[in-house]
Amino acid sequence: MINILDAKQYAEYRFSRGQAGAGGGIADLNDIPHTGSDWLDLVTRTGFSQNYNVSAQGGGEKTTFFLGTGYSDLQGGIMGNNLRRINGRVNLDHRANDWLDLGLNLAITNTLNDRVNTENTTFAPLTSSYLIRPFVQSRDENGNFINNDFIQNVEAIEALQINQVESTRIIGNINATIKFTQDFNYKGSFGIDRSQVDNLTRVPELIDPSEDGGITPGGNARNFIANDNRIITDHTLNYNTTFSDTHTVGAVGGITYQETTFNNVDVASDNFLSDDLRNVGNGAVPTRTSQTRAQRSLYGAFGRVNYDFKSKYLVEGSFRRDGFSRFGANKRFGNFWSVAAGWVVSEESFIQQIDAISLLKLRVSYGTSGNDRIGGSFPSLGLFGSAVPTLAATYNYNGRGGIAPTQPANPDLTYEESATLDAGIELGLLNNRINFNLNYFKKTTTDLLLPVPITEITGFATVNKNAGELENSGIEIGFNTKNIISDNFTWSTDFNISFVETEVISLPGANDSPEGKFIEAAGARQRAIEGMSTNNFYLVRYAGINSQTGDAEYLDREGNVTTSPNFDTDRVVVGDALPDFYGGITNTFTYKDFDLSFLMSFTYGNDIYLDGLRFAAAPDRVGTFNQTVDVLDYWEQPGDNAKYPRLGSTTENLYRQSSTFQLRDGSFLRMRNLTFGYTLPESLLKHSKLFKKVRIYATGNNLFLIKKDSDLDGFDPEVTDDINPLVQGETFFTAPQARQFLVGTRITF
Amino acid sequence: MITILRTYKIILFIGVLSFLYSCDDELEINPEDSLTENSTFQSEFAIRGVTIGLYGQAREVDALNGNRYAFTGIQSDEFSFVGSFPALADLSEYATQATNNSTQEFWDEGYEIINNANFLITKVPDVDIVDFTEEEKAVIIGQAKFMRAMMYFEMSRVYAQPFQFDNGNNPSVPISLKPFEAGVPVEDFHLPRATLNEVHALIIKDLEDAISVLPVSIDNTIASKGSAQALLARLRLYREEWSEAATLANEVINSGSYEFASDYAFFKTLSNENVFVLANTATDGAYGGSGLNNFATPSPAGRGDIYYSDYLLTTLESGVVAAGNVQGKDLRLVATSIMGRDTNGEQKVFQNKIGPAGNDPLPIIRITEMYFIRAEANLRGGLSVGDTPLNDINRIRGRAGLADLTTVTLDNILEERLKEFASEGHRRMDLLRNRLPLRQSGDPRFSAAAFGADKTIFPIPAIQINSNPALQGQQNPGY
Repeated sequence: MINILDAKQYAEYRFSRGQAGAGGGIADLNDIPHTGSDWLDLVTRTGFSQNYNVSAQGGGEKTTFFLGTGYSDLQGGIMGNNLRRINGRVNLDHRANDWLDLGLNLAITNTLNDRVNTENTTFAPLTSSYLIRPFVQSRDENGNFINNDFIQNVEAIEALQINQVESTRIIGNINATIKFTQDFNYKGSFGIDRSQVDNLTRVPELIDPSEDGGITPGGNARNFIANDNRIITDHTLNYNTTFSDTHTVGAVGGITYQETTFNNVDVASDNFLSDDLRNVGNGAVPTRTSQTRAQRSLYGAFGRVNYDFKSKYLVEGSFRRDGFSRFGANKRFGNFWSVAAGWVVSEESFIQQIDAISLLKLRVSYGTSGNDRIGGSFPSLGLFGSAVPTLAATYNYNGRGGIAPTQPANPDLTYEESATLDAGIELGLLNNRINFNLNYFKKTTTDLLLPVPITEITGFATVNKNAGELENSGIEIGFNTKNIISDNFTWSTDFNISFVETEVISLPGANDSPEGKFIEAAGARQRAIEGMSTNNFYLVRYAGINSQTGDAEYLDREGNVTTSPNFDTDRVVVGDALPDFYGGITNTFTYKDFDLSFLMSFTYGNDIYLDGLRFAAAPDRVGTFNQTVDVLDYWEQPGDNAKYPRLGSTTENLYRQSSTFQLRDGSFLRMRNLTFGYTLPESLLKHSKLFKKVRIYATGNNLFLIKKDSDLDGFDPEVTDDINPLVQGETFFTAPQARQFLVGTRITF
Repeated sequence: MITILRTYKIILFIGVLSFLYSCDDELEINPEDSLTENSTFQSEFAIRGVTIGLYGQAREVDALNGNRYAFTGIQSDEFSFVGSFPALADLSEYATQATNNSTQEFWDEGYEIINNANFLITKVPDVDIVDFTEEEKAVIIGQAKFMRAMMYFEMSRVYAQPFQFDNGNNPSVPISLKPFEAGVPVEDFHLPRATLNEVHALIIKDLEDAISVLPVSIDNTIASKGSAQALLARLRLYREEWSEAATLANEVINSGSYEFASDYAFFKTLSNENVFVLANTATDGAYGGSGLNNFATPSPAGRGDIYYSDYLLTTLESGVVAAGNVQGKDLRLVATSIMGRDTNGEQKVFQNKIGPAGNDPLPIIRITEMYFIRAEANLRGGLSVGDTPLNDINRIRGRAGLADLTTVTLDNILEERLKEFASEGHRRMDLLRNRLPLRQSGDPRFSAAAFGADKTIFPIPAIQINSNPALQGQQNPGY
């Protein structure tokens, strides 16, 4: 957690500011109270979770089954954050006769998530507890909640507000295999994937008092229900034969079809008579009645042939033709193909002579594929609609139906295509006690699907385009060693590391800059730039406090020191949100019936941006927001090496602008998991008719974290608020990962 | 035997499914919640929907719905700002950057409405639909031209120095007259800034066209002849074209469509004190509150960020009260403002012309403004159109419970406009068009707020310069 000023420090700091004539100052130390609620303490707690799973399998000669069910309940470390999950699964396989197999799979999951508001609003637990001024009280002298600051009483919100998401997902399919001959069969399946998300938000009257002059107390409710319904059917003819014991030939031909329907219902109302009236229908004023539906489909036909000689030489070729409904009639279909070859060198006699080598395999493949990943079901059409894009509002006006342009047309829009080269080597030594994997890949994506920023004079901020070329390449290395194998004691180590580089090759149609053509996401802190990464941080450089003048200094574009930077034109590339490398290491020990394993993971070379600091580390905003204790380290006299400027310096208001002041090195090493287990010895269970195997274990998650950047207190380096790939490694006040301790048992009957 | 029959049924079933889903027709899916560009302009009702959509778009907070009142108000001496948004703190402290996201939205919403209007103005003359008469088409085009003029006017108020800065030869915003439709390259919209005079000429042309075709409507929530005349009167005043200003204002006053209200109960209603009023209803959905309702109403119902400045309060409190005013003070302190808690929990005076819910109508042009325009134009132009400046100003003072003036000066008019239009988005331009600083002397930003100073106007949004080569090198000075 971030170290913020307590009520007394807060009052004293504001008094010092007042003495210095700086903004946010108070004239008298007693102008504000010196005590208040401990907000962080009110919204955090020790979480608690439980998890149970039961499964059974069995069957007879003709029919086999698997039944499984699970229950978990998780109370998060932030108050009001709970998750309950129930799932069930049935698999049935039936051999009808010697040429027909039938199968059925069905899985149902239900989760009930009691949520908190997203961090970066004054209604969210951590954001509010950091920013609320520390003298503000949560309750009055009678213990009733009060809400009298523009930063909302988050304790009251978590106690009184309902923000519940119930999701249900049903995935099921029936399938049949018909054997025409021993080598030739037909497989068909028909499946559904249905998910429903039901989100009810009920804001209490304390947080949203009515404005109707006291007729109703207030409050509002919103219910959003999304039904995504997908049907999938696949049909293949498969041929697979081996002759002369050396040649294996396989061939597959088939078709696939997917159709997804999205149906959303969104209703809301205001002004409730009582917080006890839970649902939207009770609000006096309906504020939203929306229902929308869209469909998408994908049709594919494909074929594949493969040949293998003595399991030593392997070659494969495939072709597929896909049609995507989201593009215009002439741009819908694409042809994609792949070839692959493998050589199991260790099958060769000249290698088999070498005892040390137990496995040596080389493989290489090259192939293309297409995808339609871009927003909306109709990304190529020019549209007029009544729903305001991204807002819960309409273009209707005063009871009359209104529509307006919501999307510009691009009839040329088509799928993007990726070509991937993959080459790898697998090596097993000393009877596979040492395994080594090396993999190289290079993926070139052309006709990149992007919402490209255009001049707003068009009436639009972006247009959907095939706008560029991107290259991802990298090396993945894996080691697995069985260091010690003895009767009572074993030790094995898994290690993996990946070096991945992402480079924008071209961005035709994008905007120009001194660095090259670029695309910038909303928020304007990251740019994808031609010839560089997709996630360059593009910020003004902060240079610290001048020890003589006490002013904050920045660098302009040319690198000259300035106290009045231009936060548009003085920006330069200062970092990258993508890491140089990342990976993990797992060590597993067993001793007799005890086992111990620990997993560490690491990431190196990425930068992260802490947006919350523009509020909580901006000294002249102290009248409105609480500040980190660091603000007490301000410049007082020439020679001071302070963290913040002289009180009242004209540069104090620059801390609310985005600069490298809020940028940190995100490199870390985390002890992600440590598990210690004990399995009851078989001798003990031998006489039990009930239990076959009993294991008891204790686990600690996130036991420690080593951060490269010392100035990262209270923030977790694994942060990303946004799912937008152009906005990575940015956070407002994301809650740090919790440290968890678990005990459990696994019993087999 | 039965088993075999049953399995054949299953095979048949799967076979039928594969037949059904292998058809390419399944990829032909049409939107169910939007009309396409083509289908929109083949239906009279859809075209009328696009016209209504112009006002629906205007309801966005950054179009006409209040943010511009709030954001320009905190630049001037009308409001004080204590809120949390860095972008607004920058505006109130004259520390605005070209990357300021709040000022950027005005640009975005302006051109969104202009693009929609351009669709109507360009497409409607050529549509051929049974029973869709030329007269009906002309009214739709007239409404589109009114809204286009409105948005160019609004944008030229914030992105350009006033007419008085360089006789209108200073740069304003780019003029776009074409819709961005299928087949039109983006490059056609890489337009440079036009001069303020060029933008004003377009506004005058659009409004004169609108005046010639629009009916004298009693529905003041949409464009009419009266609202077009009133907006043009405002522009003429800004350009110091006194005769045109006085004549237009006088025509609106005498049109009979509007009524100078007897008290302030007209706020939060669609009363015909309003010449053009934005109807905000709960069922059209909230745009996150209508600007003022969110920022400029007391906490906790509102944010409590923006309240009446000390200068505005002092001015309101110092008015000489008429005999018989039982309240003993300017009635606008009673009827159109409210005491409440600001963001920091302190008691301040807030506007009460719209409430915190965001469902209240927002006045864009009131008939009272026409009396002010007639008075100022008559006074400064030495004219006598309609009535005397003294009568016009005393009429407004009378409603506020203030004593009549015996003579009237420009200073009297500006002071009365400040009090009458507090939080209605007039103050900043009233000062700038009279070459006055936006802040009173003694304010720490007094010199930064001087007439013609760089940060009295907004930056051209940085992202707009990046995405438009024609705008490069055309940023406003100081950004």
